Amino acid sequence: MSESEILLRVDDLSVTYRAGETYLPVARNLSFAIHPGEVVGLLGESGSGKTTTALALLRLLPKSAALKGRARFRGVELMEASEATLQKIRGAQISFVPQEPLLSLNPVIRVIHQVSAVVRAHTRLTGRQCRDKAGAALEQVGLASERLHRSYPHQLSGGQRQRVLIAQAIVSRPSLVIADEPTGSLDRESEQAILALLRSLVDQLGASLLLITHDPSILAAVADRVMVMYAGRIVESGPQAEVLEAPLHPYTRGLLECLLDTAQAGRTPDDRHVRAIEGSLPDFSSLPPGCAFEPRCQDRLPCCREADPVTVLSGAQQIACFLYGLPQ
Amino acid sequence: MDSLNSPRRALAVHGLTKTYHAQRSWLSLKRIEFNWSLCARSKKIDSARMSYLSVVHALRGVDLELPAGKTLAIVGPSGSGKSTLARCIAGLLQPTSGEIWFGDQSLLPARAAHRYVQLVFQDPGASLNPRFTVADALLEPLRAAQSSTRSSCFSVAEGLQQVGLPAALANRLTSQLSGGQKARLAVARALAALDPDGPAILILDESLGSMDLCVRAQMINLLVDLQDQRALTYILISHDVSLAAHMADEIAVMAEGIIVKREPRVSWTGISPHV
Repeated sequence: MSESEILLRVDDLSVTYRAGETYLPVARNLSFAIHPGEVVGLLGESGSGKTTTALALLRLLPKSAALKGRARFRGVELMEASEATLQKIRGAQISFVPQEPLLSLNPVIRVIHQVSAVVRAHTRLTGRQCRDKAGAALEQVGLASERLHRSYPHQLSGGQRQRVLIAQAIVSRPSLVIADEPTGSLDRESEQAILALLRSLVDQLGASLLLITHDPSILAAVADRVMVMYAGRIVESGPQAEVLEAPLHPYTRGLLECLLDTAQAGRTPDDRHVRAIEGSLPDFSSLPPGCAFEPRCQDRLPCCREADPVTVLSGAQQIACFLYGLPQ
Repeated sequence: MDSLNSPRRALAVHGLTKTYHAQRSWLSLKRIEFNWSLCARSKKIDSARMSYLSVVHALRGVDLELPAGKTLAIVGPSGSGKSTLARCIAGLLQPTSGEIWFGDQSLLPARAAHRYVQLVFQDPGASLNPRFTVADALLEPLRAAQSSTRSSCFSVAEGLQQVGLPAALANRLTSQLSGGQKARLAVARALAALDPDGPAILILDESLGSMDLCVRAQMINLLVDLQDQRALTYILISHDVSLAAHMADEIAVMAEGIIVKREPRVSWTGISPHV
């Protein structure tokens, strides 16, 4: 693909937190591109660095986080941009749907004013015009009645609050929406509704969506491309159908086996054990010198302990594992 | 205690109701007065209907029987009374009327319930005090029960071991644990408070809902193993049908404070919880 077709190109991005004497490399050498209109899923366990990556792109991390690498968004180098430039981008061109609707909405302001505040921050429209735009955005996310517009966040259900956050994210017609676990606190049915809504809205706007989640079943319905993150690295990425149906990296395979509908395959109905990846994520302060997944991996090779695998291409998938390319 | 292997009844609930009297602020009281004056004028709504304005019926007569050593899943839309039922059985809420029997023993008043029924909360991580050490967190339920004999012979190392945690964690703060470790500790805490030799019920109130897939898979395996070892009876409250289908022997569907449907596991994989 030519360079002009790329909306966001991230090149060798690393984020390192410093806590006293210890350094925590929570995102390591990330490289990826998002094309206009594309829905990209970022999949990984909690603590794998997904949210940090999103906040790094918006430059919203605290000072204790050191950023390295580049991220080019519509001709702007995000990692070097001034605060003034960033203010114009955040919320207007790149918007963010945060994880916890109750924590991210102001409990004492009516929701329509919270949405119109986003418009006011980026345009010179009058108060009434801002409110009209906010009302239209709320209607787009399925909150049509005047009563809902004038309610306070605590008067809405979890799904409705999530819709308010989505209205805030789309009201200024951004070209990239980053949604961090947008369905984390919802039950199955509202989850499906919110995902369908997000997908249809970004299609209407022609925007791209970076969808952060720990649940692969969410991505099957909406994502065009999937990136799998483990301990701060993207270990596998590729088209959604390939990654979710024919995963190559042992971690992706293990993660998909944790899904309950596939877990029963080849087992007697009375055995309710699930094939689980044993162990837990490594501590970022003492990452192993080799592949970070090696201690939990079923298919480890002797060389996995010594070096971190480089990303290689296998079919349509990019993969960081020695099973698909031994070190030179 | 008689044999655990015979399919005896672990829990029986008869006609359980729970009503809340909604507290009204003076602003909404004004509105009620206004409604009352309207009612009085039209004379269409009698006084019983008027009192309904401030009463919420969370449970409207729940009947439930549960064999020992099995898993019952309770599914239903939010607000259907699942958690209220769980809290009543666990002795955290006093039901308005009805009976709860554990074997031949009444669990009402709820003071004795904690030895036989324990609840694992929705977010296992958030239910732990971050300033407690792992050992303190594990012993807290025993101390709360003021059972000095049991807390002196209770081994923290064993309590941790049976949920797959290394004994070396005992002196760490709970805030230093990973999500998976916190989930295991929450189960260990519930087990610690239970009668160690007899049968017991563990209520999992959406405990697996907010977990990562990997952690959830590990927890499912742990719960399955514990059920085999200790003859535990599980009540699994969930809105995730695939999880309920996987774990449970039977499913009960709740709606508006009553159990509307109850079926064995095989036949209900396709049904929706919103019946």
